[in-house]
Amino acid sequence: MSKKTHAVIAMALSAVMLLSACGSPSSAGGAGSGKEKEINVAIYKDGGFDALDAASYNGPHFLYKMIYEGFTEDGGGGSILPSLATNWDISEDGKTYIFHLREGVKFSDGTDFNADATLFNLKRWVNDDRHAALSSTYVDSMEATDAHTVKIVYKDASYPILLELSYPRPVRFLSPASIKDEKFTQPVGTGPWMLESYKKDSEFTLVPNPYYWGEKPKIDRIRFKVITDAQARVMALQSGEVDIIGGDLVGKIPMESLNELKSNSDFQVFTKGTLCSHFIAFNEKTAAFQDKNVRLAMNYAVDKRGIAADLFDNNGLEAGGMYQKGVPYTTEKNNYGYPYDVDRAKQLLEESGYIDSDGDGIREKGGQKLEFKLLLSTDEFPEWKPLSEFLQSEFTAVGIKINLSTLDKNGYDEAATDGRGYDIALMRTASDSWVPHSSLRELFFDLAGHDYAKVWTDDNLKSMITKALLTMDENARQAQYDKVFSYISEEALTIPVYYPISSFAVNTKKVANFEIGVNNYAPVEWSKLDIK
Amino acid sequence: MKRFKLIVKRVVQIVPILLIVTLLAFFLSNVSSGDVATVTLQSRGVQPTEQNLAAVREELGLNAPLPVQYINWLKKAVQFDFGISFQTHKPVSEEIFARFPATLKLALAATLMSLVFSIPLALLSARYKDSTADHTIRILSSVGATIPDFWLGLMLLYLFGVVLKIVPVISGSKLSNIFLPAFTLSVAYGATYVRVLRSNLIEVRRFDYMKAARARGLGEGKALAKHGLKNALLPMVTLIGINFGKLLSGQIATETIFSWNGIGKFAVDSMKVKDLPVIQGYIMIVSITYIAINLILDILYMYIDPRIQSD
Repeated sequence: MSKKTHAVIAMALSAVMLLSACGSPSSAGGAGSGKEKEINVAIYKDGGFDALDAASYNGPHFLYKMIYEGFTEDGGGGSILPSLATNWDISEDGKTYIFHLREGVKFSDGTDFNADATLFNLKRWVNDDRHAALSSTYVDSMEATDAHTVKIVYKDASYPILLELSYPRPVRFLSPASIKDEKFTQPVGTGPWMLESYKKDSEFTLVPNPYYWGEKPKIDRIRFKVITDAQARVMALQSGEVDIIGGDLVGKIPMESLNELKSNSDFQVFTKGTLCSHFIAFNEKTAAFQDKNVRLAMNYAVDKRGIAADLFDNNGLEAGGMYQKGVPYTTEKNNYGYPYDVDRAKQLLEESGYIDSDGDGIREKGGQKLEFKLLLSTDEFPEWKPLSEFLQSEFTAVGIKINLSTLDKNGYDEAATDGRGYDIALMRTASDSWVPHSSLRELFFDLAGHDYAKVWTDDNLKSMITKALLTMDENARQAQYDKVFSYISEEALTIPVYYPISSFAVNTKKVANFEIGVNNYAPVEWSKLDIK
Repeated sequence: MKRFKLIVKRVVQIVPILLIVTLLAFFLSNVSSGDVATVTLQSRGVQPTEQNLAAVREELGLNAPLPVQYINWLKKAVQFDFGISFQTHKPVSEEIFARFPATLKLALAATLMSLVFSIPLALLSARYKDSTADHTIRILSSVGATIPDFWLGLMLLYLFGVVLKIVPVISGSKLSNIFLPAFTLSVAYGATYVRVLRSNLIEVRRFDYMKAARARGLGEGKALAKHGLKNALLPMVTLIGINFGKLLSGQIATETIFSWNGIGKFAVDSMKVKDLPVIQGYIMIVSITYIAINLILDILYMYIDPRIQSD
């Protein structure tokens, strides 16, 4: 090779390097460069930091948990971990709580966290009807007994109070210095991360809180980039602009992209079961569903394994009982589903007198055909479209005709509550820290302003759930929950069809120690993240 | 004087139109499916109960009867105050105008781009009518006019962002990244312009002034470009103007795919969560833009084509 060629190659190379350096300033700080360790994460919506008050409901849930802390933390599987309260005493009647606060804790602005700061925060949200979904909002009295002890007397005893106090909001603590003239100024908490920069609708960065009392994060910065479109998030991962995508509340990966990412060796796909399940609810006002055989038959008619394995390519789990495995207080014995058995389904319908007498393929009894309207919305879960079509064919196979009614999210929600213009509806349970106690309340207690429940109205079930919620003794509570779940399973009050999973795709060339967190409110073990 | 009177008449006509728009904006957004308080609570991740529903209705000012709410809203709306967003807790006009420049840039770029490639193509097509080139251009413009923008956007983003890596996937509303989203939008509009302009050009070829141009010794192509184009473009001013107004109302799919923070994306996000003040403010601002563009077009025509005032 001549000298001239060398020179040309060298020039070309340096030009390329220069160009690539210009093109992607954010990719700096990668492998062993000795610079700051930074990881880029795609998020589907803005962080809402200009209003991310600890006592508000503004930005994404998980950001509250990164920045703010509460008395307790959700350890997953129903376990409660100490956080800013190191321990607590609960009175016999379950109403008085004494929280012993962690000492030496500072907010990320350097101010002290103590009993005064605690009361300052509590006063901002307790006894406010806006938080009426929480039993911990109704407080009789509260006081600081010393600088690091707070005593709270609640109006009613309720076992989920400690769990509620681990929620992302509004129960966490904001630095009192962040409130000026009764107005929120900036998000300052005691959590492991603090806000460094924020460009609305575009990106924001979080850096470790220098005063954090616990295990310090291993990286120097997380840069969240706002990408609304799900396909664009996948492309941003493929182009190297972000290193992590996924998570139900961070930015879901479309189901059709998951297999593509799985087959690409540059990325690793991580999945974890959620605490959510998708199910079919029966409208109790449709006369046929008062017959348990019909409900049972429809359970037997659905191939749950086929849905998870074939329809969704194993990007989900086969449904069993109404609640997904891992939901506190559910067991194999109390929370079960029915196997796929078409013959059994047909037999049950025949036992109840439903026979196809006119040969149109639809069973009827006394002139009443088994023809139902299935309500759904594809806004939240696009996969409900193929799912509903599959279910339609499953029910046709046993002589039940299904007409699909697909509405937008708001129309669906309205029909599922007020209008009740459906026979069966695709629904999902709550997830994360809301199962099972809040979920049961949501689905089986009367809807606000109505005398019927969202899923099934049954006074017996209602009183069993109420009892479980009020039982403070752990063993007695388990026994009570056994009754609740067994009843739901035994009576076939729903048709569980599918358990969704939470998935992430990670650029494994760059990111090390990726671990999915306990639930959607703590979607990733952010502090463990590192760079290769 | 006649022109001036006509313009005044046009402006006066706007008042009742705007009033009807306010009625539609306010009442339609209220009667659309979903209870505002319930949707707001759900968007916050809170389960609605009787107490928190009542508290939220109070907080959002939804307790007064609708006509009273409308009058209160209208009083402020005439001063361009559309209230506070339920979601962001900031003034709606502030939120919309913060995003408007991004939409404006995209609309200008897309309009410009669609004209830049449609004019030469239409000239070529008209000059060599029924040739292979003409047929190819006509087929391409049919495809271009019907291709869905979200599909085209994703394909372009994949090709240039992921495969070739010459543009970032996240455009971040930066002017340097405007080419792909603007091109995506310009395809459908440009394709329509090619078709309309082509037939206009073919039509003007029959006129006397074209014959005169040819008689003066100008070639067919030159005559078309110099004399025919000006006259063929005139009837398109309305079309381009209306399309520009459409672009200004925000392009949801393109803005979303390219992470371009315009008002279209903001409006759709707000509709999902029934953020009424934003929806109403958006409808008002978009309607006013449309009306303004129409007015400007009307006035423009009076000067371009003096025959119009005698009608």
